[in-house]
Amino acid sequence: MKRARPLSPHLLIYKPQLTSLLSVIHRGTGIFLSFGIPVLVIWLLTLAFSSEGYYCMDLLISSFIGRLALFGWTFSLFYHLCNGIRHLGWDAGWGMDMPTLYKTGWIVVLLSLLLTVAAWSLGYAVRAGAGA
Amino acid sequence: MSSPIKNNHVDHGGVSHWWWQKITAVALIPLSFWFVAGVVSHVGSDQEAFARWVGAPFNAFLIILFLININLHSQIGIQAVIDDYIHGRALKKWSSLSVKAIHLLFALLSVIAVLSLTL
Repeated sequence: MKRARPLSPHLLIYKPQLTSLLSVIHRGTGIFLSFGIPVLVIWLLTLAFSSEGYYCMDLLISSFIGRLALFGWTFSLFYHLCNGIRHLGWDAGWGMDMPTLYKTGWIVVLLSLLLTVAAWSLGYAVRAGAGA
Repeated sequence: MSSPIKNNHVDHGGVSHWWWQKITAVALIPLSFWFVAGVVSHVGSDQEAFARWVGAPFNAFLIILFLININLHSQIGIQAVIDDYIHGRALKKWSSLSVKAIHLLFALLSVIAVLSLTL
């Protein structure tokens, strides 16, 4: 920086609020989900074209780190989806008042956690049923 | 549309980035639930079973829709992050271009993989 320019207030000087926190998480989960795309692409490519590659992907995804990432992507997907519906509501001119913002904010948090737990519980139930 | 302000994002004509973000977002609501349900119901399946699921014509059609939508939506979202945090004309231009190219590549490769599974 050659010249001092006026800066907008930095995010970190604000007292954390649910509304701003949810907004930051929306962008964070969006970025994290983008990094899931190459994994999905490679998984589909190995599924179609390479048994050895698929075996490696299977090992990678089944590993502890793999499951942790997959869990993160599951939560991120549901959070980004639920909060995205909230965004679409705002675009349509609905839900911009403070009480509704907080109410829908908490619904998004609870619903995305619930959907994540439901997806993983069902996944493990299916896996047990398949005898894997 | 004759805006007095030159806006690089809007004045290309056609549907703007903003609208594409909304269209893909709405499309991704049912597609995401369907995709997660499909994967969850196949946990523990082997490669053959997964390949059969992806390759079934209707599933392949929906997965291709899903892939096109996530790549468009991701590209628009990452572009917004670039607009906010990447400074400098050249760096902005090249990072935007790379992000576009990478998403196009991802979409093409994955759609080819899915199509080949339908054969």
